[in-house]
Amino acid sequence: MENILVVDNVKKYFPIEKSFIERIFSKEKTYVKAVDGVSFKVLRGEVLGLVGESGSGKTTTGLMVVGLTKPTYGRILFDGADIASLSSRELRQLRKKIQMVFQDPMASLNPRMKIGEAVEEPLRIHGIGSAKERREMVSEALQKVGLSPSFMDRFPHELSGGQRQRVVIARAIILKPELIVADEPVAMVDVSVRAQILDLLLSLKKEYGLTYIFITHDLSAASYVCDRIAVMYLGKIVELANTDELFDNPMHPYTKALISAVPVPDPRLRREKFIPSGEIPSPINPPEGCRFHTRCPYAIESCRKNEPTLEEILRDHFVACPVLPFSH
Amino acid sequence: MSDNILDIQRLSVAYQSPYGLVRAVDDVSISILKGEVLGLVGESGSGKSTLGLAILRLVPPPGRIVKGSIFYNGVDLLRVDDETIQKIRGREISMVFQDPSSSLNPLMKIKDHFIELFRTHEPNISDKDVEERSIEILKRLGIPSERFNDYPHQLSGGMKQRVYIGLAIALNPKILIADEPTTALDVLIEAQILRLLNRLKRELNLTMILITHNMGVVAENADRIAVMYAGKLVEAASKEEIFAEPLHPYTQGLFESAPNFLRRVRNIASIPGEPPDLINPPSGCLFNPRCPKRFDKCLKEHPPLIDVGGRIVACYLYGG
Repeated sequence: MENILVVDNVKKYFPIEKSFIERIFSKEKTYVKAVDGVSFKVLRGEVLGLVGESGSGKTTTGLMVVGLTKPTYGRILFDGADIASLSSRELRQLRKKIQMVFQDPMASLNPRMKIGEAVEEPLRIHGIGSAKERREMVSEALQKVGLSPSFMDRFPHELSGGQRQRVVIARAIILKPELIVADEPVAMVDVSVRAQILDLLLSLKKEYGLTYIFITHDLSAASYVCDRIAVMYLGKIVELANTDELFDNPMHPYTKALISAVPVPDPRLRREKFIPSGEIPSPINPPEGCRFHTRCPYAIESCRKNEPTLEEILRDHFVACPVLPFSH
Repeated sequence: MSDNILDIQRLSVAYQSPYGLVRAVDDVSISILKGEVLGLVGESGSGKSTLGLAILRLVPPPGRIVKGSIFYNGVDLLRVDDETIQKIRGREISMVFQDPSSSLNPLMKIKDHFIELFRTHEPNISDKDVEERSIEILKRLGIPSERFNDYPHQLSGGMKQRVYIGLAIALNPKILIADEPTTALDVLIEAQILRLLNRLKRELNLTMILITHNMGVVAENADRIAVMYAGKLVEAASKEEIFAEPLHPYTQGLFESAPNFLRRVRNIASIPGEPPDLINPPSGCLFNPRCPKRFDKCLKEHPPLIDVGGRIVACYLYGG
C-alpha cells in the first residue's frame, strides 16, 4: 500500500527559558526533548494509533504532522513533500488535506460563533464556494456527523459534549481532507457516548477514504479503531505493530506493563498485573541508554548505556528492546 | 441489616440554577456494608459525586440537601449539628478527590498540611508527635520522608495523590470516599494508586466508596456496584452478579459499548443519544429516550427501586 505520510527521524526540542542570573553562570542551553527521533509511515486508508502516557510526545508528534509546530530535526513527508520546508502559502494548501480534531470540543469552538459559522470557517479561509454553496456544504457536513441542519443557528454552549465533538468533526471533514489527526477525540465525551463517536469516525473513514492518526492514552479505544499502533515512551517509539499482534504478543516491557495495567471491565478476565514502580522521568534529562531502563525489571547492564533502535523483530512488528523479545 | 455501616435513605440533593431546579441526586436509597468496597458508577452529571459530598454535608451552594437521611452508627448525619459533623469528617468518614493539585494548598509544604490537619483535630498535639505520625503515614504510602519539606508543585501527580490519600487516612477514618481518585492520572500511576488503596483498605479495615465512571476500575476493585443515571440509582448488585447479568438496560448498554481490548470486536453496540438535561428531564423513566426496551409504562413515571432476588433495580421490565 501507498504511504500517505512518512515521518523520518523527527525531533522536537523546546528550549527552556532561563533567568538572567542562570544565563550568566551557564552558557549551556537546556531543552525539553518532547519528541526525540521518531520514525514511522502511515499507509493510505489506515488508522495508525499513537499511544502513550502524558509526556510521551504523542501530541507533539501530531502537531508536527499538521504543521502547527515545526520539527527541530528530521523530515515529515506528506505525499512526498516535506512539510517543514513549505512556504506559508503551500502550508495553507496542505491544511486542506490534513485536518486535526482536538480533545476538548468546547475549547475548539469559539463560544460566540454559531455552529454554522464555525463549520463554514475553513471554507471561507480557503475561499471555497459562494455563501449559498457554503451553507449547503455545512448542512451536508452536519448531516454526515449525525446532526440536523437546524444546529447551524445554535451556539456551542447549547450543545451537549457529544454534539460539540460531532461539530468539530464536521469542521474537520468539510474540506474533504485526506488525513485527520485525532488527538484524544473521546477523552472528554461521556462514557455512554464514546462508542458513538468512535463509530462515527470509522464510518466517515469508510465513506471518504480517510486516513487517521489516532492519538490516545486509552488502549481500549485504540484497540477498537486502530489498524496499527505505535507505543511511545518519553519521546520515542518503543513498539509498533498491527493491533491484534500488539495486544496478543507485546514484546517491549513498557507495552506489556501498559496493557497489563488497564482495568478491564470484566471480573472474569482477571489478569496478572505487571506495574513498574516510579513514574515517567523528565524529558529534560531523559535517562541515558534505553529510556525505560530506570523502571524496567528486565534491564541488563547494557540497557544503561546503549540506546536501543526500533528493529523489525517479526514481520511488521517493530520493537526497541534488545532483551525481552529474545529472553524466551 | 446490622452490618450496614452507612444507610442512605431517600436522599435528594438539588441545585438552583438560573434555568431551573436541577435534581442532582433524586430519591436515592442505598446501604453500605461494613468493610466492603462499593463502586459507585455513573457518567458526568449522574449525581455520583454529589452523593459522595452529601454524605459529609459538603455539597457546595447553590446545591442543598432537600430531603432524606444518612445514618452512620445510628445517627442521622443530615440532622446533627455542625460541630458533630465537623468531628466526623476526617476522623470517621474521609474523602479523596479527583485532582490532587487543586486539593493541596500550593503555598503550604507537605509537612504543613499534616500539621494543620492534626492541630485542627487535636489542638494539644506536640510538634514531635505530628512529625512522627506524618512520617509514618508517608512511609506507609511509599513517599520518601525527604518529601516532607517539599511544596506540592515539586511532586509528580502520582506523589501528590499519595500525599492526599495520606491526609485522608491520617486520623484513621472508618469510611473512605474516593471520588475518581485516579481519573487525572496516567494508566500506570492509576494502577499504582489503586493497588495502594486496596492495601490501605485491608490494613486499616476501611470501608470504601469508590466513585468512578470507569467500569474497569470497579470490575477490578469493588465488591458491590451501584449504577447511577441522571441523579437516580438505577441498579445495585454484587460485582459478580452485575457483570454476569446486568439487569437495567442502561447498565447493559454501558457494558456492551465499552471497548475492551481483551475481547476485540469490530462492532460494538453503542447506546443512542446522550444523558438528559436535568433542567428539562424527560417524563417517565429518565433513561427511556435512549432505551431499546421501553414500553408504554416507561413514559409515564420513573420506576421505583425494586428488589429482584436480592438485587436492586429501577426498571419496569422487572415489575414495580
